[in-house]
Amino acid sequence: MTETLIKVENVNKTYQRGGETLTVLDGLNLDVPNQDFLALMGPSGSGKSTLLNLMGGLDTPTSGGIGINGVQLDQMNAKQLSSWRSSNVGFIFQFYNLLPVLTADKNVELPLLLTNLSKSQRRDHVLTAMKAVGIDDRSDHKPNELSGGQQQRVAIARALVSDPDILVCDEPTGDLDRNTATEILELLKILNEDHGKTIIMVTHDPVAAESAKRVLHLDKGKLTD
Amino acid sequence: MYWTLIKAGVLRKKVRSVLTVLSISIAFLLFGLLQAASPIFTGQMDGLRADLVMTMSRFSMVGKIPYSHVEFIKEIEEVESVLYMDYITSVSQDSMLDGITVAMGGDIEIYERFKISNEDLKAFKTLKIGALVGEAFAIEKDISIGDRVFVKSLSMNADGTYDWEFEVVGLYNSSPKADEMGIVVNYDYFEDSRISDKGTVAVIISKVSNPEFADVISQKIDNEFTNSSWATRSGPESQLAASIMADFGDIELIINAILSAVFFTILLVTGNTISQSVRERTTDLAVLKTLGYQDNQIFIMVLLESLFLILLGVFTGLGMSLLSIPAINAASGGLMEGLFFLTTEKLLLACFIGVLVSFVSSIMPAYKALNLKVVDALRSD
Repeated sequence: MTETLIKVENVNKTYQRGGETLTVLDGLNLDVPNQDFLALMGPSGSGKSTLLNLMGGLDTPTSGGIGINGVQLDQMNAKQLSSWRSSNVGFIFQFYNLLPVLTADKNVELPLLLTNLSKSQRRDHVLTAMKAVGIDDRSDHKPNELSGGQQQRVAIARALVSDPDILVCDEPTGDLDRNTATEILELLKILNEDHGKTIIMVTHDPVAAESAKRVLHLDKGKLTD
Repeated sequence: MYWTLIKAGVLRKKVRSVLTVLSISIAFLLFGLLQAASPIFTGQMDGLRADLVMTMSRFSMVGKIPYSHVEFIKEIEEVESVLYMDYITSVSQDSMLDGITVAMGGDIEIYERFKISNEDLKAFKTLKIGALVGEAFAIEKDISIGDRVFVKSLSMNADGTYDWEFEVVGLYNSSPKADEMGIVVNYDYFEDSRISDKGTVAVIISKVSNPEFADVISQKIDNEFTNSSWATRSGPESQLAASIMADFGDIELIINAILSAVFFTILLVTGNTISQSVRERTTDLAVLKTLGYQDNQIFIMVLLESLFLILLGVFTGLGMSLLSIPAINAASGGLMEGLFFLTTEKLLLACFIGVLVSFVSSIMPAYKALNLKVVDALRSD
């Protein structure tokens, strides 16, 4: 676990709000080793989701550099970032964000529609991902026919289906009861330990953070420990 | 890829999508029916010929011109043969609306729209009180060959009455079928027997050797009589009918104005539907972008979604039109045949309008989707 996968170097992120400059990340440095399971904690507005977005290639820093696996995300344009995201990072959200009219397997298939895989190849990948998260028996159910935990499993399968190295999780258990949250965290641990996925998770929940290998705290755009 | 996304967008609010498609299809049903009926209002009917020059009174559709005009036209070098006719004004059977009786003379054969068997034509020419009855009219009035028909006319007969009697010697067919609602009698007999309007005709039809001469010959005829009290209005059959209909007003313009209002409404309806759909799916679109879908793919997806909804409406509407047309024709007893139809050009025009409406109504929502910032849409921290 010594090889650095993500290198955040002196990153600043500022926003202009009503003529005022708002600093969200302030000269932040961070190394994330390969196969790490990192929990980011901090109060609301501390910049943890912004950092998550930057590491997930959803946004670019105002200054500083973000390198992932030798690729400088801060040098990429929007189109290049889209392509990079589609094969290198999987996203898991607090509210699952599944498309409501698509069945579970169709939701999982969404990232693969951007690839050149044949229909049968896509079906195989979807089945593998759904089996990995234990939701393959619900493949033809729509999101509103699934419990919160099941929906989050589908979302995790969708994040996994293109076999990315990094999973970016924004409050993945924030909408779940304790037991279901524990199941989801166990699943993330398995993905980290058995499947070698590097996981970066933003959470407010100290119990959820205990599942991670490392916990970092942010406050006012800086790492506090 | 796009199909899955379009389906997801369209099915998200099924009732709204169905209502949108329904409103579009009703608009295009209206388009189809109005366009199908437009030949009736514009005179642009199928089968009208460019090598037949029609001449009539400049001042009235049912006005008279002297028979001497026929002689003048016959003498024009490029004119091959001439047919002339006069209206006996009304048909006797039950009321004036039953049909129309026309007295024809000259080379009846050139008016090929009327299909008459050689045998019937021969009988017609042989018997001076002979009459040819349109098949549709004969069926409706149960008239058979050998029957006598009585016509009440505004032209007084030599016996001092307005009653005319003819003997049916044959039937004729025509396209459009509506022209079968009539009776054709011999002009010479009618002319010999009437005591008013003698030596006049209502319409002269001349067949020219080359359609390219039709305009010049029309001009020549009109110029000849331009300063007389029997001034004429001539033109190729294919143009004159449209020109006469234009005298009643630009009905095509009125039709187009109605359709424009309908399509503008559809534009607003579809634009609103797509805008609403994009607004409601901000998170979905942001998630797709998160998964790696590019901005331009999302842009195209919104455009295609609108195109799908509109084309579904267009095809449903035109389909209903195409099904209605034979039904309406059948309900009219076939009388609308050749008058009420949709051409391939009109169908393609409908598709083009559909594509245009789709593009205009979805370009702004698509542009908004294109510029959607993922981090703003998903912001939770």
